[in-house]
Amino acid sequence: MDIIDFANIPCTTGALEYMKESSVGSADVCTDMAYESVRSAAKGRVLEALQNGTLKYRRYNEPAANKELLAYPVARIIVSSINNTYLTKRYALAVAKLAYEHIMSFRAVALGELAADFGISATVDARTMSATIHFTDYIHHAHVLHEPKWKLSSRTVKGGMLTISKGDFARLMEEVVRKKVESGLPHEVPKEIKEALKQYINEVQEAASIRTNKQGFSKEGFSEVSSGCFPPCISSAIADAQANVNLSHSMRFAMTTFLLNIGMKPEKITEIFRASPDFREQDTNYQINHIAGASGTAYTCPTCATMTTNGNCPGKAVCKKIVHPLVYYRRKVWLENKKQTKKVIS
Amino acid sequence: MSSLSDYYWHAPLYEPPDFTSREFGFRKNGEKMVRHKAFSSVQKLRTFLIETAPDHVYFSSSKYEDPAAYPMEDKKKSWIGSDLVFDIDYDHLKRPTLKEAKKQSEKLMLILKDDLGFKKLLYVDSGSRGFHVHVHDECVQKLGNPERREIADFFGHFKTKRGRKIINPNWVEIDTVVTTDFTRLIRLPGSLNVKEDSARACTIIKDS
Repeated sequence: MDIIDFANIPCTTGALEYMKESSVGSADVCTDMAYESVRSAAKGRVLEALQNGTLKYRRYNEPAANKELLAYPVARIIVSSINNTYLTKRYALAVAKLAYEHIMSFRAVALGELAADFGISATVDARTMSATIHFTDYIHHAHVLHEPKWKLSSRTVKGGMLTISKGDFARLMEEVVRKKVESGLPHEVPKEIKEALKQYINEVQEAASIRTNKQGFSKEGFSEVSSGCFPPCISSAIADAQANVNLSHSMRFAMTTFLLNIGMKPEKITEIFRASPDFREQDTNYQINHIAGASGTAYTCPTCATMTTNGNCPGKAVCKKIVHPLVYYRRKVWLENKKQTKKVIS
Repeated sequence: MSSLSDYYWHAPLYEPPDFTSREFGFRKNGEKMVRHKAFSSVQKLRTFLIETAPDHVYFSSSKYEDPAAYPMEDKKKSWIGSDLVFDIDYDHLKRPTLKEAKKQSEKLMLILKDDLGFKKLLYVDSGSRGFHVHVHDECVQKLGNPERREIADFFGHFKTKRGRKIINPNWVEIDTVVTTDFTRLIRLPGSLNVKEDSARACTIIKDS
């Protein structure tokens, strides 16, 4: 890989080493007059990521690539100083998407090199450009991708290895980049550097806060329980419990954590279980309080993926893009509230 | 001395790799499980079994720097890695017979060897309702929860987003919770599984 590759995929070990070898220290880049344009480019990238969710794929010559690579640590400093989860995630995603575009231009050798840089051993076929990797490396990154084609069961595995197309491989590498960029953020930023970058940080911060407000993220928990907003898995479990059907252990756990997470009182949950054929009040109370955090750990409701694995997802089409039962509930509550306000206004 | 103690004098107790990093648990019928125990050698474990004569003996698929740490949160902090474990219980099967469980576990062994390419497999008759397979290969040790879930899903049917059911040729009715939750304890091969009226040993069918 060369400097052009590093500029487009700046989180590689190769890029890091390249920067170490070059004589420019990151403190100089942040303070020295000569690097004004680098700092402004860094700010520009962060703003671009924030506003568009992507970074434009630019064709660099060598000096431009050099400048771009220098701007990367500065952009990270800006993102770290603001320390806003939304911004951090959005920035990491944009860097990853740019990496994807660049990886798609790779030839076989570069693909293999990049994978090796990320600690994945891959054999890339020079003609078909498909990559063969170990299935554990595959699931390590593919498990976050929700399309059915990414399930391990949708792939052909032989002797522990599986082969994926160049496009899929690039998508997988995009995921590695996203994780790599995101995991290192926010990092510590020395006071004097923050001071030196003040104007850029303030500008991005302002843009970020406008955007986050627009998104309407609310931090407060659920004020009251609205049973009409339960996802199908939970409402069918409650119906089963009340109809004397014995629930599986994992479903009981999921239902209890869900109800606790949305703020239902433990006593009320005990009441739901009362109709179960093997109900014993004392045991049930103990278990619910344990899950609620009596022993120090408060549990969160399992994700949709876990529910599916354990056979607790009724697989209703209404959940299409939902990844977590609590997300379903949150959205539904939000939607209901919106309807209510509309009614009041009209 | 009870006959259980007698049994453990000469029992062919299985020694899992990294024995001293494993957590052990014991249970007497009708009593609560005692867990978070660790032993410096199989001999020490044997002595413990002879003295206490438990009805059930379990060990962790996970390895910890401090396997006796409690509560679980503290133990998890010293997590080193976990074997991958599969459990086929005949009473959870669509056709609940021991024969079907045997058939499915053999299919599971084949897929694990040929498709997933595992080399170090321990195939166990649990001494009660089914079969366990422990995978000791290095590549599974550091897998997290979601990755193990992917592997568990590899053996199940699945639905598309539109709700269409896809039939999976690799379908095996494993207990998915056992495969995904690595804080669980599994019956130790060589120990006895004691029921009210009978006792059967948990035995190794194949160790490769």
